[in-house]
Amino acid sequence: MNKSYLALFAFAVIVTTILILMPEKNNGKIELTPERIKAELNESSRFFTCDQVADRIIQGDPSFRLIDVRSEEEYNKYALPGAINIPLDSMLSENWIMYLDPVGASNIFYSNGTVKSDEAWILCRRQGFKNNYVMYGGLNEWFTCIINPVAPSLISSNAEFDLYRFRKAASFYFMGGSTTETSAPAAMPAVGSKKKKEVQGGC
Amino acid sequence: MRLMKHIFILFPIAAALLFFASCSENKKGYVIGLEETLTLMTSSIDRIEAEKVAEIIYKNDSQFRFIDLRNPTEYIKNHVPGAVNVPGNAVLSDEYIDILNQDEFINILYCETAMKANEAWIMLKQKGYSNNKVFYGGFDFIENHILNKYSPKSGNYNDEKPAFNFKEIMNAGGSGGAQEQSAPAAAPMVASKKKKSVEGGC
Repeated sequence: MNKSYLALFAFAVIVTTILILMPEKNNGKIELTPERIKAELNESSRFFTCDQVADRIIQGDPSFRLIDVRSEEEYNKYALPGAINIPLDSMLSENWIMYLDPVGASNIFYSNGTVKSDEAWILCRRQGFKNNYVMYGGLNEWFTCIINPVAPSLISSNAEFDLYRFRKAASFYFMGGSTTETSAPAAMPAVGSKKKKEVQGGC
Repeated sequence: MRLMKHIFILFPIAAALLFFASCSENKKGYVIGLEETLTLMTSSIDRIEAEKVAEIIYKNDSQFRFIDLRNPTEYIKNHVPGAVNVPGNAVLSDEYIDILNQDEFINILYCETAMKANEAWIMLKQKGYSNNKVFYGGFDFIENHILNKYSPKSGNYNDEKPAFNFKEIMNAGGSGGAQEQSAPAAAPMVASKKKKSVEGGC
């Protein structure tokens, strides 16, 4: 009887020691510290602009996936082409883990604005997931910039006019459907390469 | 026999240590888990509405304190009266912990955008800082829809509220400190001054 208690006690001590020494444990998954996440939030490197997202959709870039983090109801009313719906409310469910931590691909979260998709990013980043990004401005910005772009004033730079032309063509692409696919993307490549540098400017 | 007694005492202690180690979260810096964080994100429990913000500002409610998360250069230009400036990038630094984790005031966080204010709020929440609420309107909204509405710029609806600092204007417009000494000798002049000020009042 002595021996079994001794063995049990020794086991408890060993397991306790291991648990105390093990770093950052939460159900076996690693979490990034709040300070690390705040530093990444400050960098703002997680953002894609609407122009960049539009370009990737038009180019048919297979390396990224759009994730709509709004409710199912809002997603069914309207969603960006090819987007899948992972409502923020259910983002911790086991079903979605493989989507939210993809290997060799990226996710771009979007919502109506930026708050919700940003929260989704924070939730995922805390779990150590990489390759998630946020479409800045969300659908509100999308509709202002891409669907109904505003023509720049006559004194604007060539760069602004190029951006406007891209947006006009993108608008045509997204509104027109399959019949316009052949005509719209022809203008994309030339503008696309320039656009990656300029697109930092907003709408 | 002695050994057995020792084990009976030591085993529960070991079990208690085991339990403590398995639920210790302090190393990570998070005070709340993922599920609770998500619940906070999807609830609006700490969100303050614009009407409440306006009420707090107009009544000068001392229970609340505004935290301006913008850059100091923006804060200096204008901010909510009495607001404390904590640059958004530094909300988790030790420098501001006394402002952001306290129970003297209820802090209301605001920034240029809802996203930036919300970001700061949710990170503070995860670290267990208390008494922080968030307002989604940016400072531009506060300035245009709340601050400028009841300032002398937009008009004086209250008849008995002084629209000017009378003493200051008179002192500046007259001869400053010498005015009092010269007043008795210049009684006729004071009378004419009065006429002018009556005209100005209308």
